[in-house]
Amino acid sequence: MRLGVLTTQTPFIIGGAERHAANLVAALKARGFEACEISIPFKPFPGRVLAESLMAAKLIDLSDLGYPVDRVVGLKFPAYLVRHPDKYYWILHQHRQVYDMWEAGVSELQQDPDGLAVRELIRAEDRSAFSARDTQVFANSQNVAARMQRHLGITSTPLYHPPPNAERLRVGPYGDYLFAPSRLGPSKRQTLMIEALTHAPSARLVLAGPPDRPGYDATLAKLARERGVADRVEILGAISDERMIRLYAGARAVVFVPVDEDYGYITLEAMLSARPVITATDAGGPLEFIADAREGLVVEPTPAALGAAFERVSTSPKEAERWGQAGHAAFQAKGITWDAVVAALTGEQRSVLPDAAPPRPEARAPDLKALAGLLAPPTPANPPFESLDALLKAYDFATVPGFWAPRAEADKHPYLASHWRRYLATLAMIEDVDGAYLLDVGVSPPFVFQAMLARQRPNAAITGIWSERHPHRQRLVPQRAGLEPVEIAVHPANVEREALPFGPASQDLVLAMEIVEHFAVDPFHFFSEANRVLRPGGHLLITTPNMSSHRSVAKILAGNSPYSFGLFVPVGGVHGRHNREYVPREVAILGEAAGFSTVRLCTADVYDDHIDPAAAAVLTARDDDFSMRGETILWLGRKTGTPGPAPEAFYHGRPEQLSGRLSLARREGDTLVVRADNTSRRAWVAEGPFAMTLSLDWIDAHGTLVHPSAQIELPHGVPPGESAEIALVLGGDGALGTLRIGLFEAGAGPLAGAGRGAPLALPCTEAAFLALARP
Amino acid sequence: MRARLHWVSPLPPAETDIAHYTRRILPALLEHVDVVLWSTEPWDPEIERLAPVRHLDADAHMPFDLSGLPPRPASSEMVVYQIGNSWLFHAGILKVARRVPGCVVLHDLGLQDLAWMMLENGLIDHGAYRAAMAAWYGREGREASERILAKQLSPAEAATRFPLFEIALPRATAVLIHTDTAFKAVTARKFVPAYQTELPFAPSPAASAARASEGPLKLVQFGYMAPNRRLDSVLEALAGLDLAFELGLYGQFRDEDRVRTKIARLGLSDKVRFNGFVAEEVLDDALRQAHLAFNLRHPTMGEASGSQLRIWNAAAAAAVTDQGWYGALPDEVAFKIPVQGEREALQALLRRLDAERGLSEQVGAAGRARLEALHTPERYASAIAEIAANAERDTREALLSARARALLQGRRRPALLTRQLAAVIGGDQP
Repeated sequence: MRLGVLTTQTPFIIGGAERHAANLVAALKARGFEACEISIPFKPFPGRVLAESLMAAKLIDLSDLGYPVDRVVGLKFPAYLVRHPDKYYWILHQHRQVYDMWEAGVSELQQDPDGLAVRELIRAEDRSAFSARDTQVFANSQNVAARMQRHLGITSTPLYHPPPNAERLRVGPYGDYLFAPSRLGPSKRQTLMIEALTHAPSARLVLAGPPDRPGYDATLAKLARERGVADRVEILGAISDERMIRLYAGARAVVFVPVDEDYGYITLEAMLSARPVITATDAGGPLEFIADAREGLVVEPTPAALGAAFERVSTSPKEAERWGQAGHAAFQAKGITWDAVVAALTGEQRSVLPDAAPPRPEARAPDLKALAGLLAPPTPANPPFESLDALLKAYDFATVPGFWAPRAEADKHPYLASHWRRYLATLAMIEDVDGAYLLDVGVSPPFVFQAMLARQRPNAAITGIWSERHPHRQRLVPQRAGLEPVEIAVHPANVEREALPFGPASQDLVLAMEIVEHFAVDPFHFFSEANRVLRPGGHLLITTPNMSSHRSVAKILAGNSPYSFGLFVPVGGVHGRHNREYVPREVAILGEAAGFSTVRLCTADVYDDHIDPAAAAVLTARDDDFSMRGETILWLGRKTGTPGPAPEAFYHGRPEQLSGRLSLARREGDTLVVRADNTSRRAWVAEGPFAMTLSLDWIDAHGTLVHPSAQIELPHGVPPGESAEIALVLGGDGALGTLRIGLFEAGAGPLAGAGRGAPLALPCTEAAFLALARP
Repeated sequence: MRARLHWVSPLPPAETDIAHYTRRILPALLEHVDVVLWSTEPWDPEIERLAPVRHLDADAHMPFDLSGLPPRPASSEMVVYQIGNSWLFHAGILKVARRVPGCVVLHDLGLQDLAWMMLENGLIDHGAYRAAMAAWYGREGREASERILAKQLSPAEAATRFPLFEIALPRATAVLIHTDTAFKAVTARKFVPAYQTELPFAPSPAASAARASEGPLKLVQFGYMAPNRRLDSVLEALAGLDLAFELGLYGQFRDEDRVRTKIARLGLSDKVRFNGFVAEEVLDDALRQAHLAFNLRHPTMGEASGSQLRIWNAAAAAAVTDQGWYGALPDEVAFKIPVQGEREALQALLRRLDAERGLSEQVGAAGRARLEALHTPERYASAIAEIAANAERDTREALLSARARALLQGRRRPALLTRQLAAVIGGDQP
């Protein structure tokens, strides 16, 4: 039997409906039917164009393709209007704009002059389609069936189907968070959930799903901050199926409060995971499965009522577990299977063919050896030296001739010995990268890695940067025949704050090995500078400890701090210690934001092969594939663009606009004109959460800061390299003190604090200050 | 569930019979469907006792503000436009009808007067007018439009050949007309489902005839006395008569001064009385006493006449022009006057009525019987209910055909393609 599954696609939008059609086709194929998804594009507005889309569907005739199509199954309006003599309907949804949404007064067509007529048109077509002879009309849910009955008087049969991951969902321990998976958007009411948290002091909420429109996740995060619940809301964005399954399995309860949902996989997925569902009285589909205090809680869609439900499940784990188990049992009792769906739509009872069944992985203890193999560091195809010993014997690494020299035994140099594999892994990462101009950031003698680098790529010019104040130059003299001397020029620079001392596009490869974890205030600055000095197509290599390594997990499980290097280094200043360690994707995010494309992101155990069995068990139980759990992150990026804005998730404020200069432009009587120069690379805005403002403080004659932190707005936005002038009237009698003027970013604070914009001090009376500071 | 109609019409106290018509049929209509009345002009609040009334803002993006109306999930909702030829009452309605799809009730087929006044008042531009005339009437239409715009041809004269009712129908989902002639004209255009039913009138309780069997003949003419009402001809016929009569004029004139001068010149000043616009009861009373009402139309587009229904209601006899709707009436319900020899025929009729005083009663009674059989509001309301019941189907057909026409515009053989498309897209599922 050959079946066509008719569906509609709004181009470039892929949601549950699209996956549903694909799943039906897969279910039919798995049971031995020949099936194909037939999708037609649909533009639903304005009404005039909607009528044309409808007409287009009606013009498609699938009755004779030169070979028979035995039956078509219509899922979505208007695709189900395609012509075929044997048509079944399994209505996912009708065009709700002319049915329930019209009734609720929220239809866009009600703002369209053609709306009333289009409503009649669609009703006529639907009525004609569903009343045709010899057809069967199934609805995706009781909710959809009731809607068809109410609006058209058409009777249909609800036909439930299992959610996409039904076979993989599993039951885990009842954790401490409420899980709310679904697209982030107004119809799913995440804002209501966040408001509800203010009534639920014990609840923690995890939101997962892509935003319906760009920025909606940030809107939710902002709301959470405004409501003071940000520390109890986690917004994950889109997540993998694996992670979603884990989050279901470990949640205390699932929250699903959409507005009149047709069906809602989330309810079923929660039931399969034995999680209680907290839903709302107007949620539609979920109410077909969830009864209050039986499989979860059903409450009015108000912050107070929802919050009370949150608090109840958060503080009553036993109730949550009981309802969750009841939901699990209820799902099993309903017999919701693809077998049943396929039987209803084809009239033939078939099960999945043996070879079509997906293999079920068996749970077993983690194979530590295999995992260690997975995390073995890459090695270069042609290692420049066979061992550290051989390397140390190859050159004279002394910086003061005859005074200091590393002894030629590796075991006397524990640092070099422990980093040897990392050096090799680093060389392996850049093996296929061309280029003669190499910049190695953060070097210090002995220059053993640089000697390896020089041997890997003869004729390369190697430059280094260090934190010393003075430049340096060294020539490594070979100690045996067949080697060339190695010249290294080292320049001083603070790479976190200053421009790299090289012109644009002057380098082919920048190496930053074990550097970025030392940055304390602005890692993105370095990534941006690396982009500037690299030629287009040039490469940046970062290696840095992995904060989410299996080793860090083991440390946490043992109750220890997860840092790879958590020591303070009093003699090293702020950059001597690890200020911020990263997880793998963070490095890629920073690099990509700075105009690089990720060539390779991997992790490796470069220091130690040992894997703690407990940590491995925890991770593998969560279906973690372990590939990103190595102790060192190795990331190679290729320059394909220019730096954009710094990724917001890393910063308080916008780092690339946090530098400026204040000066006194001129004096006109009592009026002083202050000039603010934007010396950053991003325009200052005068309004909004990241606005640049002037902060005003007044200090009395005794040096007491009497009035801190008044702020005034800039008169306008200021592009990079441009200025704004602000006139201040400073006349008046009274005790003279000092007016201190500073630049202040609304999202971050005073620039002076980071040394990015020195304040200006002017003599000023208190009365004049108060006149200025008052709005 | 009952359909809900958005009934767009002038409402009392607007001085147009279409306002009275709406008021007249409303009770019967409400037996079948729910009605929301929409008016561009102020209305007498009394009508709100029957149905909710809302202001129609013809210039708004969404002229129909449906907010606050109870939702009707299971029933059709359809707009019904009342389109007549008076720009005063119908300019706004026409504007909306050309934009928002709905059923159009065409009270007049000839909309040239309306179009002209809309041109004069800047509501449509010359280009659009020329284009419409050319689109619907070809080269002759385009030439006529030039002459009309140059004031060489009056809109009323042009209406006979180029009625231009089409300008009310670009977004129509159905059209309702009241006469055979109009039905033929509209269905010839083929682009909307068309319905026909007789114009309604609510008969008053039968009143006893009060016509004098002797003394002067009592004559009446009423309504809006445009040139096609033939008052000049009537006056000329009366001037040549040697019998006693009194003529009462009720209603408005486009050119009252000229008419008064003419009456004086014809020596009829003491026999003709100007009564102006009077209450319906006053007019009905005058008709009940009248031996003859003049209800001539030339030229005519063949529309049914609300005036004739009022005459029949009073069981009065009328002189009508023997053409259009009037010409198709049975001979016993009115006196038919030919266009050629109109004056002489009128004189002959008046002499006959004077001689046979019972003749007026006889023709009046037959007219009243016809009114009661064919023109009841109940019958009309049933026809509207049928249109409402077909709203889904008709709207579908109209909308899809309109889109097909729009998509095929500029094709060499649009009619053929449109028909082929319509056959496919208009069809029901097998």
